[in-house]
Amino acid sequence: MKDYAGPIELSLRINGETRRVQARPGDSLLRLLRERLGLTGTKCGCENGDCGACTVLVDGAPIKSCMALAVECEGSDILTIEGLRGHPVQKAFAVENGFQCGFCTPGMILNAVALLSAHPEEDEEADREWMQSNICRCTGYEGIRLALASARRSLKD
Amino acid sequence: MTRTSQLGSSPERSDAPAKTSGALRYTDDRVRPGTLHAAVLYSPHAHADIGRIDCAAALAFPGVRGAFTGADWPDVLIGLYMGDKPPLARGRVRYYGEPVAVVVADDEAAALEALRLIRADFTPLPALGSPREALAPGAPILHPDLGSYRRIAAILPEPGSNVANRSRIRKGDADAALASSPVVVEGEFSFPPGDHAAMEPRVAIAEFGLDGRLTVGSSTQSPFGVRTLLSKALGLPERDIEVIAAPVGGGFGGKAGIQLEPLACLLAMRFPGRPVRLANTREADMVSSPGRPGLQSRVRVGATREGMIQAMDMELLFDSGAYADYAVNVSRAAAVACTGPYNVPNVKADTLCVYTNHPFATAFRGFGHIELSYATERALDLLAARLGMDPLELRLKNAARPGHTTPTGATLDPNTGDLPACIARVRERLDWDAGRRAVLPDGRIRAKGIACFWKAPAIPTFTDAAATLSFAEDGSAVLATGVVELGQGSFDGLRLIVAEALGMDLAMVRVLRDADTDRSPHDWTTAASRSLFMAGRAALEAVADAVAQIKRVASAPLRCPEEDLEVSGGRVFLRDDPEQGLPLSTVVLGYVYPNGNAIGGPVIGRGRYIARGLSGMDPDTGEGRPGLEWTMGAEGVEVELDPRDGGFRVTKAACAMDVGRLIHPALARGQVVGAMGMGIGYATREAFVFDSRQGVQNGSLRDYKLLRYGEEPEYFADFVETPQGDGPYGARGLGEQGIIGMPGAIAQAASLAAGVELNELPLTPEHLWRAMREARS
Amino acid sequence: MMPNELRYLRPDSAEEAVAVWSAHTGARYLAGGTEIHTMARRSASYPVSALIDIKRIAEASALSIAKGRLTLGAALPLSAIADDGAFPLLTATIRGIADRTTRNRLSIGGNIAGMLPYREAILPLLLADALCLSIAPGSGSEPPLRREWRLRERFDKRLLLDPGELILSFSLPLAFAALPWSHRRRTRTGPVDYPLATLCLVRESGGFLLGVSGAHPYPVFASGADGAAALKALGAPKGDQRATAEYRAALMETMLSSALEELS
Ligand SMILES: Cc1cc2nc3c(=O)[nH]c(=O)nc-3n(C[C@H](O)[C@H](O)[C@H](O)COP(=O)(O)OP(=O)(O)OC[C@H]3O[C@@H](n4cnc5c(N)ncnc54)[C@H](O)[C@@H]3O)c2cc1C
Ligand code: FES
Ligand code: FES
Repeated sequence: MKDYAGPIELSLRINGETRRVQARPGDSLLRLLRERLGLTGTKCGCENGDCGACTVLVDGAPIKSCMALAVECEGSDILTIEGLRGHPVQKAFAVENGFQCGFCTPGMILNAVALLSAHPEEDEEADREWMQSNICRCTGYEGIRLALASARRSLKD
Repeated sequence: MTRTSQLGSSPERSDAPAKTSGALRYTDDRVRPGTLHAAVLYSPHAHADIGRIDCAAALAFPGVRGAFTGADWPDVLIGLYMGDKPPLARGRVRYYGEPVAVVVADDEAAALEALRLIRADFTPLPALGSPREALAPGAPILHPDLGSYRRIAAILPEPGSNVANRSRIRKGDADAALASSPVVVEGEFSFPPGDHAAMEPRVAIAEFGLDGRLTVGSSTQSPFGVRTLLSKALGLPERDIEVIAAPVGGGFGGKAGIQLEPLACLLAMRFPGRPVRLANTREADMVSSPGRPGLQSRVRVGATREGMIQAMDMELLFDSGAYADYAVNVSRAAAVACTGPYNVPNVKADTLCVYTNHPFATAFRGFGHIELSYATERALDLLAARLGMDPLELRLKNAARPGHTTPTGATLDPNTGDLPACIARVRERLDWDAGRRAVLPDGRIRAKGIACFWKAPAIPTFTDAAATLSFAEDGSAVLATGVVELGQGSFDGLRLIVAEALGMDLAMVRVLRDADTDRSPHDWTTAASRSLFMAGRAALEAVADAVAQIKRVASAPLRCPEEDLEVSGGRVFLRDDPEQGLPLSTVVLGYVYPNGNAIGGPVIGRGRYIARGLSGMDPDTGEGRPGLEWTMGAEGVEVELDPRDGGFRVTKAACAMDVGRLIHPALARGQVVGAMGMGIGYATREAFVFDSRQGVQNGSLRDYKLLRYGEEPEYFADFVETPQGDGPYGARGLGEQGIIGMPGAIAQAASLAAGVELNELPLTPEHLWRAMREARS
Repeated sequence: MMPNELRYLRPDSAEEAVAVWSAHTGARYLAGGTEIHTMARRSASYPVSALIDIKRIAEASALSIAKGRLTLGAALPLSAIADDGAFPLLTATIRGIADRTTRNRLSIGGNIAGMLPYREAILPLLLADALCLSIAPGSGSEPPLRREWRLRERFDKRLLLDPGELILSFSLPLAFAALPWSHRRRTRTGPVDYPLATLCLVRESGGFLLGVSGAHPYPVFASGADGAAALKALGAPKGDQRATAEYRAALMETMLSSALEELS
């Protein structure tokens, strides 16, 4: 059994590296990433599970990092936007104007990365089911839809 | 050397690498170690007298450095056009969510825990739930000191009432024209207030340095405006205040004006040497910080039997909530454009900004034009129905053209866009002539609607912009402006303009990202869709200035008159003998002769722009020229309604807008499409829900619903290009306009589908179902 | 945001979990955490001093099919259950709850044991007359008590759990999963919202089983020879800020008739 109280030292696998970090058991994964590791690419839009700006991948699956404690992720592989380099989804968001202010973008991109690996073939129903987890206030979703389609094409090639 | 123009192409945005990699740092991504965190106690009442506030237990909580209430700053009043708002409520709370007390602690968790230990007593008062209630005789007066508030002259409050501003339009003789009009219709149209819901919650991080200077990082659209207003509120000179605006995660008007900064600064001044972070939770961002106004309106329209509009008589009551903020000017802007883009010879309009006990309102994309447009378009729909005329034809017939006059009596000049062309595009896109209403095999009803819009920036007559252009060793150019990046992509428009003017490769032009009042040239505010126009003009002047300097320096080593030189393709060369020239890299920091002698020095281009020929409005008639350039357009939608349960969705949305000149088509489309999507939310779901005591019941994203992926319609965005003579390369503003016509167009289509006029928003399924049921019985 | 003094405990077995609960006053079981995080932020009257993470208890995280029964660990995230798809009505119901990313954490046990009025995932289980395996602290020095019970027996508006009782799993006959079913869900506007009404309808030999969430302050279910009788037995819906009682009643009727049509 694990029993954590007071300040603790956590060891987490983040973006392929093992990071040791001073934390509190109550730190959400979101706050730990942003405030203790300086990984500010993960955004806080509501801290209530509603907006998806804080989405990261844990063992390949998107989760809302505001709704998870960092300690719960011990032993898991955590991927944040900083760990994604030159991924076709990133390129597609750039080329197809899948962003404007960019605040929803890291969460959108990570969700899309997981979506496209689970559903490499065109699948409007899956796209909707997955992408409805993230709010974008700027784009009206047109650019995001185009980015998904274009990323799917380039991942297949 | 010939280059093809890059204007009108859509190169990838320059911020794409930063925004898709997580590298871009917004304001709250720049918190220094040692920062103090503030947490705010919000009023649970919409209107109440404040009794005792006991902070003792909070102060004793480990990690807490201070706890403050309104009594700590008994004299400070903040406001944009009118100083009516204390940083923390004093004596009375006027809206649900008003800040009442604040705790400052070493970390946020401690501040939040300590906050729960504050005991505050309230005695609830009757709360005003709409402008009409607030204007009724005997209504409580929310601001007894209205007459003594500091304000600008253009704002006309009526002390002793709840009217924070009244703007009047008296053009021609509307009463007489209505009396003699063969057809007169009248209607009342309304909607509740709502929120901008930008994805980045507002945040301000202030530090009162040990050197006595105040530095504020803020998610603001108007760093220079914040500096001026802070200076007034805190009594510090502008030179001792620095405001830094990182790129903003969505503004939509909600981050214009002054917001969290004053309280953050007042707190910072209590803790010199330590930054204080005041960050909104999402819930506070929605309810405590300002949202958009609500509306109650009444419109009468008189017309000939052929459908030529003779007169409009209208009253627009803006629900400004507890404080006036930007809303006083929103109501004024609505007066300027009150008829919508139609030729109306006789106009009588009163637009009022009214205090209520709702969350207070500020600028919102469209700045009063959604409100006026919704009211006038709905009234035109009543007129079309009465005349038995196609609503599109009615609009086409009355479309404003050059030579017509606006409600304030200003003549539309040849720079005015081509509205009939825009209407024609929408007509085509929606296959309008194939029929406006159809019943589908499964029983659902498909219907179409159209609305037109116009907008001129409602800005001070002296609104300015400035730019400097400097160069690096590699000959690349750097443009600095005071424009804030909100997602609109102004920087890429400016980059294209500079590249075009310099004849330079796009990759060799950069635009500086942060706006910083200590370093950036002055700029009024990033709002009113004016950045491309005004900063674009300033950028062009800066380029011209830099080019002149380059030629002056190069003329010596090239041994020719400056007039014979040309700058293009990263070189300065002889026009008639292009082989003879120098790369810019050898000139822009000064030219060095082979023997070591140097001339010139760093080139710095300087450009500025100030609004041209604007004047104020006559307080009695509104006469004047308060609007700069008019952007016009038409929008249409196709909707589907299930008559059994009111299930409703917008399936197509089309916008055609006269933008003067398309600088960056993909950015323009993004703005228009995003605005249409937002307009769909506005019309179909977005509004605060109040309980009987005016508490907000849906002040979180769990309950306040925004459009999600898959709910968007098929979008059409078309552009008409009638050059704006004084715009950069003929361009005019386009950032806000796409939202303006949506509520009107959607209400028209929904009314046609439902078979009943729908005069209130939002058009939720239940609302539609109820209206249909009432119409049947 | 969680308080500074929060304690986190992660037991490896059910017995350990219950023992830890007894040892820490004010402790809560932590599954998906979606409700705990929301409540801890929002409400001063929701103290969180210690959280007992149940996700690494093997029997609470297993999904199995044996002896004609489907067993679902209570700590399983909704997505895992929906993607497995063994109980199509449950899959459809789950896909209505929250959003996909949230469902990657949100657990079936947490949904059912939570305090919100919706608890949509309970509907298919109530209709299926599922069994529930739980463990509770023994009284005094007694060892923890495991027991298996019919979900319906201890459901009265909400699940009546004893203090410290931990749900480990649910099980139901696969035969039930094969019965004809229909699911409808309506919200005030968009797709990601609490339901105005979620309706689960199953046709069995004797008639219909009907469960509804969102329309009343708690999930309700009834059976009837025909759909109308079952609907009537549910009682009148309630109104709130999302919709009036009237509209909910009208919705339930149109939803039921289209669901019946699907099953006919
Ligand atoms: C964005 C969002 C949207 C949502 N929309 C919906 C919706 O539309 N419909 C709907 O029904 N729900 C919805 N919910 C989910 C719901 O409100 C709860 O948050 C969720 O059901 C809790 O599940 P959890 O696993 O996260 O539980 P936790 O937050 O981990 O726990 C919730 C409570 O249950 C207790 N608990 C957990 N597991 C067990 C167990 N095995 N035995 C005993 N007690 C236990 C915990 O101690 C705690 O008191 C939504 C949630 C979010 C974040
Ligand atoms: S910040 Fe986590 S969902 Fe909004
Ligand atoms: S780009 Fe601004 S919220 Fe999506």
